[in-house]
Amino acid sequence: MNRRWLPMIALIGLAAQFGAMGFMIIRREMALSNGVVCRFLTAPVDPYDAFRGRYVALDIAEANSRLCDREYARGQRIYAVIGEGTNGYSVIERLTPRPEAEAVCIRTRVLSCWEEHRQLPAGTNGTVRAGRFRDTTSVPTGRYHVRFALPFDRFYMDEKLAPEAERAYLDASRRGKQEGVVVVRVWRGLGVIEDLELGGRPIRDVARERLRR
Amino acid sequence: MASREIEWLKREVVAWERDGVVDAATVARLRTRYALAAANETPWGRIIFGSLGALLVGLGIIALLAANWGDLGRRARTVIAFVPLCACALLYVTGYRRGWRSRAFLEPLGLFWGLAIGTGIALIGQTYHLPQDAETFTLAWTLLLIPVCYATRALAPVAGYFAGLLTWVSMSQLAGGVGLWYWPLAAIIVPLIYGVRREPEAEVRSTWMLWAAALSCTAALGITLEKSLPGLWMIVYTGAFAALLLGGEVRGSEERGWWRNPLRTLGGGGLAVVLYLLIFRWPWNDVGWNHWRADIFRHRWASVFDFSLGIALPVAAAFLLVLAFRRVPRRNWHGVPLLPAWALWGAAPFVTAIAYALAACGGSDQWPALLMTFYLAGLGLATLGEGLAGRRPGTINLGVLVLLAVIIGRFFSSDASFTAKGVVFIVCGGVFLAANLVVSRRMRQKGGAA
Repeated sequence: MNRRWLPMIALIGLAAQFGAMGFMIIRREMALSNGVVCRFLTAPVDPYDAFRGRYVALDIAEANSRLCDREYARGQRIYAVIGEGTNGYSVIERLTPRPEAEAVCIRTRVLSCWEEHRQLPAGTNGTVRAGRFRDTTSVPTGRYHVRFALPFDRFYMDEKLAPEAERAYLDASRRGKQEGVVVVRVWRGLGVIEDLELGGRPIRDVARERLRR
Repeated sequence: MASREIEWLKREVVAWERDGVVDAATVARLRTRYALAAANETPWGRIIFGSLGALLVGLGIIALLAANWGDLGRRARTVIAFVPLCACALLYVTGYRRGWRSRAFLEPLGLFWGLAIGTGIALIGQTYHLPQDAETFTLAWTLLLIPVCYATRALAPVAGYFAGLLTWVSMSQLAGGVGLWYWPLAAIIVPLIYGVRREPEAEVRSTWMLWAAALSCTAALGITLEKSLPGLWMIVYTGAFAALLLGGEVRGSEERGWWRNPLRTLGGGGLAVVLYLLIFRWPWNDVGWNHWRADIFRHRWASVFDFSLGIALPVAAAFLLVLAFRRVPRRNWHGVPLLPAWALWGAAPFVTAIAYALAACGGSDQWPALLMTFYLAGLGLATLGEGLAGRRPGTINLGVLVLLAVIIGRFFSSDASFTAKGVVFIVCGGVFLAANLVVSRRMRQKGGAA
């Protein structure tokens, strides 16, 4: 390759690198400024990432599996439609293969999908167990369990604050009063974490206060 | 020419002058020529220390940013994410304008630039609490390394690129995805390696690059196969290793030493290991169309890739076999034309295909295993014979090693009585001792290595 092209390649490469990182930032800034606020109940614990440092792992109370009327392929892109639950927090209402116009949806992927089976009552005779189900004790219901992962599973914190945040949550949950809530902004299928709250206050403030004591 | 070889030549030149083989003027010309070659030699010490420095600075920045300064606002952290990348851009532009072309500058820069990209993406992930998606993180980092590889032509980003691709494809395949994108992405760097190989004084760098690429591609081959047809991997892998071996013969048959020809070394070593596995009966159980996999994670269209490789790789091996065979001088033994041993090794995918057909049609695992045993034993003998004919102790040892491995392998897997096994072992051992004695005597007579 002609060496005259090297600076051109370097410039294009730098443009691509700045562009890719800029695109990541702009989309999330748009979500944070224009997105719909959703609040999910969560249980925070404190692990570590070699590259991104200390974070609080979020165990969203909303189950990550839903029953659907259709089968999805593993890895397929789906949309989780967000609604409001009876306790005032956000819940996943249903899964759809395409975003719905009026609904608040978060884009995610199918981790696994398996058919639901119903146990046949003991003593069911061969006439009822027709065709390919002759030798089995359960029959498919025509519905599918779809397991998915919500795209917010970690909240990064200062390396000193993160363990304190976990301890604060454990103390609070032992008293059975304060709840961990992750505040998420949802915009065009993208969910971006805005804050993590404990007992209605940002968890950073709670942890800082505990450290000062 | 390496500095060690230049030093050897300088010592020899002194001896030649003393013995009157060359005159003083020739000695002066030779000294000038090789003093220039020594001056142009790659400054490995500076490169290694420079790269270590860049690595430590890069890792230090990652650790500093991982500390997560909660007091800094989102905007400040976003700006910081771009700082290492801006530093690289500045260094590159300054280096280009001032004419810094030395490897001692470009190698550490390539390493630091690669780390700067990872740091930037990681900090953005930290600032916006991106989910644990190691697959996307690795792919984004790896893809953004491509321009770094081409701009600096450095080893570290190229090795990092192949390591990143392999990591990504492993994670993708484990998550139920299809990793076929690995191949076009790997092909993007091929012109760069080819270009570096043609550069003067870049032999070591290009050899390392070729090793990184060959090792990564060999590992990725097993990962990206869809494995719908049980046992097809045998033809694919023997085809791939045979193509590597023969490609190494075609490209660099004159290159001595196993390290300098990664294709030949990896192809030969890989073939030996795969063929050795195939002398046992277990790989031949439940192979062929009758055992077509119907798992839930199977991607129907991705199986086409397996079949394409099952055809393309043996065809490529056949093509390279003809090409390599046309380049070597013909040899005869008492009027009988002799085939070079690598040509017999290169025929492995076709022998494996015959054994596979036997296993798939007949359903027996005994005959294919037996065929492969005879074939590998034949390869061991051919290698041994070639070593003896060329009086090359390394090749002789290789042939003996293959033969011994076949015998020991079959000994442990066979159901024959211990008496029969004992007799066979004693006979084989006797033959080896006798052959060794004869060879040593002949080599002593002809002045070769005994």
